Amino acid sequence: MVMGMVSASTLRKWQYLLGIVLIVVVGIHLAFRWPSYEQSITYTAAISHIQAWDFAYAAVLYILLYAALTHGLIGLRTLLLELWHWKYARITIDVTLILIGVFVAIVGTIALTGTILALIH
Amino acid sequence: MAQQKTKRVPPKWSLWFKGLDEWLLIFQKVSGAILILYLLGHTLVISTALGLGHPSPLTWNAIIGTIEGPAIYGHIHVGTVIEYLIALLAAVHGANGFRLILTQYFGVGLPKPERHTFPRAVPSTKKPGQAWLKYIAVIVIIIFLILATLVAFIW
Repeated sequence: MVMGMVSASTLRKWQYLLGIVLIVVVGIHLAFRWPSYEQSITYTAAISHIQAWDFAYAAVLYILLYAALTHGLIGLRTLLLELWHWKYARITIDVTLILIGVFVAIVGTIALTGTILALIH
Repeated sequence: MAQQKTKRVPPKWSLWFKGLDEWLLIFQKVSGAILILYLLGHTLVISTALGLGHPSPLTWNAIIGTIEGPAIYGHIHVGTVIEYLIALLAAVHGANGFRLILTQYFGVGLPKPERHTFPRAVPSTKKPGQAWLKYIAVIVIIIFLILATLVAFIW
């Protein structure tokens, strides 16, 4: 293992742990589509969802965003490293996926935090 | 002494296409790739619909209306069907993934080691000890399928 790198077995443990966390948070996220999907995606419903349980559902959304991104990108990295074997595959895949992950996490955080602050004030 | 170069060897793909367990692992990888692409798009779309922290009904309705697409039948839109299929894929991925964690990491349902007795030298690894986990996963998926169909298309 090169210094500074995370070992494959550690990534695997994180992958499994985040998978279990995701089963719970994705379950909660999908439960908010109840009883009708069409009704749940209206503006009023979306805003009331974020405020639900004294903003505890918003906390679920934060966990969902970060856990799903990490789990998904670790999984995609594993898959791409199985398929690509050229010299700079690992560094290219790592840098690309980290950049994509950080960008989407920042956009999601700004949108969610801004919405929560707008609803509080 | 000259340094020996290590060459990465691609996997022997023919070893993968053997049985149900191998196909379920391939499914897990392919469905995961589809779901991460969806997640990236979904996060960016919902963030835009929320006006990047400045929510308004106008922005929300414009973005969600575009994403949902035209109505197919009654209140069911193209987006409803896509979301339904993605939710189903996530449910199968989750159920199969939980089964894989239990079997691969915790070794649930693995056969107990057996004493090697002559003339049967090698214990069989083809024991159906983990089959019950697959049945539980199928039951969970069927329950999810019924609930998701009701939520998306009927109620």
